[in-house]
Amino acid sequence: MMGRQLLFQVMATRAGAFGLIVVALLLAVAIFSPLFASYNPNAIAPIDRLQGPSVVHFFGTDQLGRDLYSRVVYGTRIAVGVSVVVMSISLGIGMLMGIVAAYAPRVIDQLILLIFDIINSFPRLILALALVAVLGAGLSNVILLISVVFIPQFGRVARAQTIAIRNSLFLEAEQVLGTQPWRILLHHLLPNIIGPIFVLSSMNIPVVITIEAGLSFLGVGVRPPLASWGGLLHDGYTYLDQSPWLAVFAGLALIFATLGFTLLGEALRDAIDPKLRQPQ
Amino acid sequence: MLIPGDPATVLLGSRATPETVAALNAQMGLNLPLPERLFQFLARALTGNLGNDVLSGRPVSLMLLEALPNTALLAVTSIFMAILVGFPLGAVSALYPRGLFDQVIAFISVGFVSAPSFVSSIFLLLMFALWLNWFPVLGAGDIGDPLDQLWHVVLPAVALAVTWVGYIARLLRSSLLEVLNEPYVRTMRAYGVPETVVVMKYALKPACIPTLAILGMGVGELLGGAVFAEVIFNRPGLGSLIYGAIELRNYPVVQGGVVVIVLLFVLTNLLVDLSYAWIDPRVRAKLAPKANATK
Amino acid sequence: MTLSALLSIRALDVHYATERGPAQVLRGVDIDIPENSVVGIVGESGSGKSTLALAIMDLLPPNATQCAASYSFEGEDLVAQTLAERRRLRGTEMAMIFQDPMSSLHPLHAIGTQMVDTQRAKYPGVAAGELWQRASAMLTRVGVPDAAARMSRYPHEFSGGMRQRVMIAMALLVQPKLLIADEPTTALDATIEAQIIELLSDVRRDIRGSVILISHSLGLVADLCDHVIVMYGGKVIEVGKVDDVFSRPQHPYTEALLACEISPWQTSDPSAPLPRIRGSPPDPVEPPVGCVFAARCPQCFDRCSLPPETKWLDSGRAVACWLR
Repeated sequence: MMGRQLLFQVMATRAGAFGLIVVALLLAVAIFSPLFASYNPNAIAPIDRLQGPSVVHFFGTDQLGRDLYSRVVYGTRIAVGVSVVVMSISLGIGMLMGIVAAYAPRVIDQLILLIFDIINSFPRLILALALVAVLGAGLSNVILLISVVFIPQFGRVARAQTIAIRNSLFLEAEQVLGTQPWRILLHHLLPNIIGPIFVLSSMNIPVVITIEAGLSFLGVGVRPPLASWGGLLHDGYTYLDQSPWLAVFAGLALIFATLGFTLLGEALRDAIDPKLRQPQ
Repeated sequence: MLIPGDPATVLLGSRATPETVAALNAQMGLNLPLPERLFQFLARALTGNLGNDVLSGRPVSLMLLEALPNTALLAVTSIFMAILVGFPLGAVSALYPRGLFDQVIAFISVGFVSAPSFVSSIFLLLMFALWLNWFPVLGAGDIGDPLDQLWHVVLPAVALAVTWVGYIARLLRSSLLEVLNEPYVRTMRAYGVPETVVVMKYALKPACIPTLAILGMGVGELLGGAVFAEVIFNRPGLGSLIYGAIELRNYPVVQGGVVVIVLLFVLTNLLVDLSYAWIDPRVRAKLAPKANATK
Repeated sequence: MTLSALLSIRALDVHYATERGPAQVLRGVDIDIPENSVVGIVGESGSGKSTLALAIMDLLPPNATQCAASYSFEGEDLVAQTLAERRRLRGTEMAMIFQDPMSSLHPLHAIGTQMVDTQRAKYPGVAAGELWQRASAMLTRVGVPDAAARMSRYPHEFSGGMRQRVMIAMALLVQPKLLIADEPTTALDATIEAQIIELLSDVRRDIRGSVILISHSLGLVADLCDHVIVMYGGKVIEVGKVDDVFSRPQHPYTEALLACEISPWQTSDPSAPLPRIRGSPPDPVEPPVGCVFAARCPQCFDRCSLPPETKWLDSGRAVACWLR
């Protein structure tokens, strides 16, 4: 019921509808990559290296003769997969820390806030870069370390909402009635928190995609042969003078994905919390 | 791509044997546990000693100081460009809301806001440097020739600015639209003040405040983008220094570079906060309370 | 109908675009403001009084649409003019004092700057320094102490009463033929309100023109005004000289309104319930078809399902009610 209403509101604007379609497409491609790809993305064929788009290879080939289109398709898995997992981890840890901070003694609360402030004092990409530089690259590291960057946002929201209801009378009333405190908390916290969390997540996914792609571009992200769009872009940059198509299609994929998620995120934000909206 | 292995192994290359690796590790202090290394680093950093470059032995702080002006030039130029283009676009959009201009700008803004800066950098490089040959592909230009340096900074600055133009335009647009409906603007209109004066003198100033806040945050993203721009356009600067250092496990340089960037970020936000006091007399009053207003 | 009307409007309609559909805030409003008089407009919140003031000055927000069959000021027909020509009256012949002086003064500019800019429309050739001096003198006139120094101060450094004095000074400086005061004391404390009322009656003599005083306080209107217009639900329901209307109300709403006024020296039983008007104001999105007050009128009868015509009684009295 609320979901359907949300859907209608999002579809109401052209931007929102476009975003939704793009995201749905990306999800489909990510999940069903084998169906969309035309070749094995790792199939090397040095004879066909650096070709332009053709009927056989829709996007052309890369420096090892691999089909670019298929690599872009499988890259969707990385982009979407990493963002979803990162958001979930950030969300989980952030909320936990936020709720703990709201109930904990002042010292722990201040400590947690300090941790949030330290994380926030780094530009996001720089933080991710520094962490990866020290702790090493690779898919699992990338996921964990990028998650760190987004913890404070969720943490702050969770903490603020928890504080707001922590002192409410109905909480006390229910405790008197004998309901478990955890149950009470979740039951009252979740409805208030779901809106902002949803909005934050959807607005942040394009940022995660960008950071992951950026790290992979610099060579400190996902390792080959995994085909991250950032990695493809790096190859494209290296061979820019020989064949622009690598860079072009990898870049377009990134733009397409960030655009779609951004539009969807903004439409969701307008639908869920008009107070956050900019005036028309 | 990143070479697997610890710093000592990487540095020693073919000369790496277990003994030499262990010796170098001990010399670089890498055999101590992480918290202790961190503490040592912070303690030394407070005195301005950021350690020495693993390769050349030069003090890291010196290297950073050499690299800083290039990055600063890039950052300042792109912010300048973004404001110069973004402000008028946002203002005009607000004056004729929902008109054709507004819709076109809105569409372009969203597109550009989304594109990651390194994608824009590569596309710009491709189009204007490789194909059209209007701008140089690599480097920062000859030192001592400011014009040449400016020519080299254009493309990377534009790449960074492009993301921000859209953001600034949209933010200014919505702030202005809100301000234009405020009662104090209505008072000015009620006394026949011409609309141009209403917008330029009375509406723009309050509308800038939320835009400023975003700019402060945006500098952080800009510094991140600068890393890519310097790598892609092969410019010297903090970004390429850090990137090169990461590849070689040159930790002192990485740590020092990150510290400098964080300092810059914090400093910029501080400046933004201070500028509120400059713009808004109410903030000034809170910072330096005067005698109470009399009845 | 008065002969020498300064301002005369017929059939003014104003509606706002809202999410639920257009809200009819003013419907078929007829107004006559005589020359050199103080006219009060009374009504409860939502009756459309402020909207009427803003419509006269053409200051409605962008989501509002207004149209009138005729609108004449000093004999000139404004409906035929372009928007720009109409707006030339603002700050030259018409001026307005707004309800909340805190939000109506620009927070980031000094009072003096604002007072100079508001005079420019009226005195285009005069130097800024001269305008500054005039503003300073006017501030003293309206009772702001240490005016010269205060000119360089910002609005947040003034108290509520002082800010309203500034607004009054702004209006007086342009010597308007029509001054509209939109609930000038509503946002102020009671003690300050008394001071401002005193100021208003004091400066009334300085104004060589008419004043429209909008208020929900009948007492204030009784004190300061010659004529009164009573509004309800976006319509004018009674018009006349103030003493006349308040002593011999012709419309049931006016009667009820007067009955609700509490006198501090009332000798009635303090435990008796306060008089009130049953019901709530009409919804502007779905305005009633017949008489706008019918739903709450104690004397409503079957004819009230049709909108009443305005009956003109003697000496400028008018009432819109089937009972008369």
